[in-house]
Amino acid sequence: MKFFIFLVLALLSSMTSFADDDKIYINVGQAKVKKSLVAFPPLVFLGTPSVAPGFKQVGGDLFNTILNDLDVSNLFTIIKQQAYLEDSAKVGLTPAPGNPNGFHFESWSKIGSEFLIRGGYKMKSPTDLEFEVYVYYVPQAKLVLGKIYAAKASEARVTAHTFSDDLMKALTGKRGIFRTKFVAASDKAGNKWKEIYVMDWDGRNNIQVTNHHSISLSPAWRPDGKTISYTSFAYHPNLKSRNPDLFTYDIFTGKRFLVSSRLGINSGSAFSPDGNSIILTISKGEGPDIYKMNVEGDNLEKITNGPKGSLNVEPAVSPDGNKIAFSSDRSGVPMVYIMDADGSNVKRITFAGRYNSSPSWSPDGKKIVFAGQDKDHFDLFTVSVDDLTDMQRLTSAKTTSGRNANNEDPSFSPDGRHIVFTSDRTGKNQIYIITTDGTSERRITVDSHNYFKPKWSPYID
Amino acid sequence: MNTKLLDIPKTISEPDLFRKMILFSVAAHVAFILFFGLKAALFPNESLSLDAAIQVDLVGLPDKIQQLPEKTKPAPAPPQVAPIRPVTPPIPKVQKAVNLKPAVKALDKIKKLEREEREKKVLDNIKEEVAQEEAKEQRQAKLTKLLKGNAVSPGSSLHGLAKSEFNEYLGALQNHVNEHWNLPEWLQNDNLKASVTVYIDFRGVVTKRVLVTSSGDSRFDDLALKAVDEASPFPQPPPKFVDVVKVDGITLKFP
Repeated sequence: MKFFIFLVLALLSSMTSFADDDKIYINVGQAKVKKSLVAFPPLVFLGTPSVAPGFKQVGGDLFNTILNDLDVSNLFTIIKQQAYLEDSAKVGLTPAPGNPNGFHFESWSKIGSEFLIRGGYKMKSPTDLEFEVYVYYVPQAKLVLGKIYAAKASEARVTAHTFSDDLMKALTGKRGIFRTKFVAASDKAGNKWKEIYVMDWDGRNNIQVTNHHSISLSPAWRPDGKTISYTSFAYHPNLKSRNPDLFTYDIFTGKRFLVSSRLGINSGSAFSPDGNSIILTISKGEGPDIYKMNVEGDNLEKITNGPKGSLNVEPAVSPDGNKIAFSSDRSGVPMVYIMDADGSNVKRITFAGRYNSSPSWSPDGKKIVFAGQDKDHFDLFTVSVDDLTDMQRLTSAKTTSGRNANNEDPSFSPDGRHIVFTSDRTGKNQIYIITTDGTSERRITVDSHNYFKPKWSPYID
Repeated sequence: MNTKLLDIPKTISEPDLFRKMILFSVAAHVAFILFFGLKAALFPNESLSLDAAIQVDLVGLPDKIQQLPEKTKPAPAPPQVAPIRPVTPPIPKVQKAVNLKPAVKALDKIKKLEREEREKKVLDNIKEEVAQEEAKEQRQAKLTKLLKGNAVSPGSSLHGLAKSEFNEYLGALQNHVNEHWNLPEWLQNDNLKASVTVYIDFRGVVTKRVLVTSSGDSRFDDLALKAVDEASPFPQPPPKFVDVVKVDGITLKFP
């Protein structure tokens, strides 16, 4: 009876409205998420044009890069310049009355702007750039961020990305993703080869980092953001054949190492969070299983063990390093599983569909994104690790011919707000990004080549 | 006479045969056990992986939830008014004159009977009400006797149906304010919490709002106050709660 009374009291106290200390309270509940209106007038050139004739190109790079970053951040709606009431070219970067020729907050609050970004730049020489920028919170007429960046003129885009990262940090307290990169395999080099490419997250600075004249695939980032691992079908003169060997490559020094050339598959590598171990699939002429080794390729430990004849591939290490997600066909069809880092406590986490693969962990370790096929094509899905019923389809696209497009190879961004993947909706396997709620999809690579298995880098300092 | 025993071949008695077979069986079992025991000790097999059985339901993957832009509420349609048609009065039919005297007499008699019946009913009702009132007074007297020494007054707290009605009103209020409660993603932070006390008049209009607990971030506080301003007028309070929401106010906790 006492328990029943306690239960009733507990239920009553959990109601939204209650009256303790004679006051009536209401919990309003979670707010709806809205985007903030931001005004970003053109940058003002503060220097002497004769010093750097190419200043317009530099200013354009700065402005367009920031504009794109703001758009992709999904936090802002950018107010069109036609709505502006003030000509930014005729007023200063700072507000009146402190600056007699400063801008007026009323001009921006009247059009509903919540943020105002005022920036100017000058060229001290044809190669030296100085970018001065201020961000104001208009409703309170407060400065959020004010900085002067000095860089080489050739680094205008990096400077712009750095400002965008600083703005994210100032507003959300979390780092921005605008200086992160992608690594992916591509047939861009022709001759049916696939080589490895590293590019900025927005698809710019697409650089080929392998030249094996072979099939190179499944790249991965080391947590330091400096080294990548990948598999390439390297020629073995003694065997007179090619073998899928594992390499690492330092993208800053250009140093390359052969890590594992064991007979059979050495592929699908992933680094442990401390960067000291590599988890990968090795077959050694038998069924492919998941192994762990150090970055030199030694101290090999077997993590999965069969069942005989089954595949255990595509390991993805959880952010805390305690779990490994992987694909296996041990149930008859490929599905996603998770296990402890030592291979114990194997648990199947996908049951729906015909073919589920390519798992990638969210940075908080709560979700896994994977590519799943239920009819004739692949789409991206997220599933909560602690609640397998919480599954969401993120993608759905048609090709130009009207069939369902394949959306595959997902990888989470380091801030957990975006996912990079490939899609063949244009007829070619191109790189796209999407927010984790399945909105704000955008194409990153725009060329006539194919890209495979893109991986989003960690934060790069 | 020298008799020679015939060399009859020895036959094994049944008990002996049984014993031998038992010995053979025991030896064979021991040999088997030794063989497999030694094999297991000297040439161990790979460990047998025993996975828990799972039930696999063949189900499809979920469909994509379409994120549609928020629909603007359509303007309320004007009330439907039936078209006014001219009414033509019916033309009375001309009837032949008849003698109505006997019929009028009969009608008067019926009316008299009905009046007497109604008066009787009214009297009965009054009698019943008086009896009920007396019974009530008796019960009240009993109750007063029992509560002697206690001061009983109606009080201001809400109970039973009134409380349920009030909670219903608060629920409507919560939904209403939540509709206007918007926050940019960059301010979505579990640690930010603010409280605003609002005072509402009989029409539901917010007459006063006070930030009683600040979140520590003035931008968050401002947006909480903005939600209150945009939500006013609130749902009209039921008449019996007007004083409560006007004088004591209601504290809104964000989120």
